[in-house]
Amino acid sequence: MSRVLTHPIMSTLQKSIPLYINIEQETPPLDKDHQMLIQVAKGDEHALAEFIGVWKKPIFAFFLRSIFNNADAEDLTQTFFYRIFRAAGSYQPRAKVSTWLFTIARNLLIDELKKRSRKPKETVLPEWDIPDLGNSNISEWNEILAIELKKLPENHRTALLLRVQQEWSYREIAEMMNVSEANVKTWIYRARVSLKEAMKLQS
Amino acid sequence: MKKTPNLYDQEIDSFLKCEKEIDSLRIDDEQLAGQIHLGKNTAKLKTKFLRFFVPMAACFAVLYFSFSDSFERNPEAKQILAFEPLIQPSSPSSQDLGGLDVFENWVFMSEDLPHITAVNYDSSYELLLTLESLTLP
Repeated sequence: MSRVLTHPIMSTLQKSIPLYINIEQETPPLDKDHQMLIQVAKGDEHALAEFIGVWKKPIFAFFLRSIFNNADAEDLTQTFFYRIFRAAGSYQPRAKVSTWLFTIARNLLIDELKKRSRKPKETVLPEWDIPDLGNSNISEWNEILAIELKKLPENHRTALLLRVQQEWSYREIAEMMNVSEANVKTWIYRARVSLKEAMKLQS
Repeated sequence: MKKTPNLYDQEIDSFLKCEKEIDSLRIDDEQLAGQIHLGKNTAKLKTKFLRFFVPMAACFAVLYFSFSDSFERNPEAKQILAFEPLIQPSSPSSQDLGGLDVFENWVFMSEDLPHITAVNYDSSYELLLTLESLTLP
């Protein structure tokens, strides 16, 4: 709500001329994530712990389905929070906190994938080249899906993960990835088709 | 069992959400927050250390070089530097020679040379006696 000056002179002026002076610009109320981020930027350790508690699972899930290794995904998650702590002060509330966080997570992931591509590949037998899915109960489908997901281009995989795993809208994904919504829809469609084809071949 | 397209989608979605695997995450919120804070504080200390000591070292270096330059330009300092070589001995000092050289010089300058050469040096007692009987140059 804009406030109007109530000084007697101003009120007389207002009677003749509809003069409105905005003292404070209308600002949207800060959401909880933004408030936590402000506290994190101030160096509040408790706020940081709370922030980690809220975001560790979505971020870990994103890394886990992008690099297919529990330990590496955990390491990346920790690195991600280090980065967030350093960058918290530079956050501008132009975009949602989640958009900002996943932009950082994606950049971190791209750096990691580049690092891996630069490393000389160890000579391993093809049967050992199966993604490590940790100690979970791995079904046959999961193995196929993991192999197929690994083959997808990074942008297709990220778009699919943000849509299905994080339940983002096409618009949010497009905003984060700096592409059009149509592009995002195409990537997700293609990713789904290739995953389904792999499953069909197996069955 | 043949799967319908809808079942494929469900399978893909449940795989991508990886709900079971998320529970295996072993990150402790408080511990990680503490580590991050500690890391930041250490970095701060390092930065403070560098910000303080590097300029100070640079100041000392500038002072040292400016002082040494002005000292060399000073006429009195020039005189001191000019006289300094005269104080130093022109011949090699006894420190420059090895122990054996000193001993040889000593022996050859002595008057009792024939007597020394006749002594059996294997016996340390005799050597001691010989050395005691030598007259110093």
